[in-house]
Amino acid sequence: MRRFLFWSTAMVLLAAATHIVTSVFFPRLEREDTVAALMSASETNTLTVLEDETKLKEILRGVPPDMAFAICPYDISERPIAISAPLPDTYWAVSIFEPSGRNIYTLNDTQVGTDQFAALIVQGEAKTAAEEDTSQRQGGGIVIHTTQAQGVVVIRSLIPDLASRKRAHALLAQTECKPSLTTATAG
Amino acid sequence: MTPIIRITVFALVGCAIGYFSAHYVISGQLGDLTLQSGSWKLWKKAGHSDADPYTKAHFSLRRELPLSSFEQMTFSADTDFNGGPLSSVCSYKLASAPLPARAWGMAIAPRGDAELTYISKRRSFNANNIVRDPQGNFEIILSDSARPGNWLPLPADGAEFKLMLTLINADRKVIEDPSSVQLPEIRLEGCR
Repeated sequence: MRRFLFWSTAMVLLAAATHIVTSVFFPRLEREDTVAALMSASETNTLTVLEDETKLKEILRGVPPDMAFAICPYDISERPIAISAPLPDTYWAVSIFEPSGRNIYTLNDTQVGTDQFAALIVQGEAKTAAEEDTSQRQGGGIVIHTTQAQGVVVIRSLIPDLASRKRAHALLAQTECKPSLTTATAG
Repeated sequence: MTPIIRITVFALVGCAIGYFSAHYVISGQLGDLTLQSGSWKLWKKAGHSDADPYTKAHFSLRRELPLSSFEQMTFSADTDFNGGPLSSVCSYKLASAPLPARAWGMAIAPRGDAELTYISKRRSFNANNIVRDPQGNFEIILSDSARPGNWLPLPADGAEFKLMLTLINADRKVIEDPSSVQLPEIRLEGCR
């Protein structure tokens, strides 16, 4: 009886350990790989429009075919990164992912409220409620705080129809994503 | 049974129980992590910062970075209304009332990792390019041969596929209660 209990307990522990490794550890590695692939698909602090569908599918799966994408991997260890983008008259959204795959920020065109998006990504924690509030604009742009020096900005825009694909990519290409000339305003 | 065989069997059974229990939850076949509405399945916590580890694992293993339901809600279907697998040797009709979202897109996607061979550039319809009736209702015909109306060409080679329906900025009521949305029924019309 004692032997049966020992082996039963050991099997439950082994099953639990395998369960945790399968559902937490391996997926975390895959998520980090996904973001790493996104970050290596473009030069750091440079915007790249992912026009080639095959390349897009290789690095970002499960995305709708009627969505245009641009990415900008950033490194803000030395200077903040400034993003500015003209907004289309259709759905548009910007999201920021940390290397761990955590989505730290998302904003869409209706939330921007104007036809031009401007933001500054700075390293450091927001120390006050005002700094945490990304709806507040400083110097014409939104200030987004992140504790991670690296990450990737993903911009997506709806392609209303097949004939608009080139136009959607051309508008995304007008987005600027480059080190800011000013130093961080907060953080 | 020698001790070595006994330990090997023990280790294999333990690992198998752990692996398959995780696999079934991560694929949405066990647990209460997904919402099933007819043929359509939605991962309720997709893209949420407070998502459970299984939901995170589901999308991580598929190398997807979903946005939260406040931004996008993606329903997927790999069976028709009667539960049969979606196959490009068959044709289907989808009838839908207006979808409660700012925009939406319906696309054909591979069922697994295998790439699909498409016979046309059209792989999706969205709120901007669908033809509707005056009440806003619409129908989509899925077939491998050209059909009048909103024809969505199916992949070649008789491949199995799935449909992805993405609601962009869905109405607040839908975000709060995804089961309230009336999704299109996928009716089988016939097979070759």
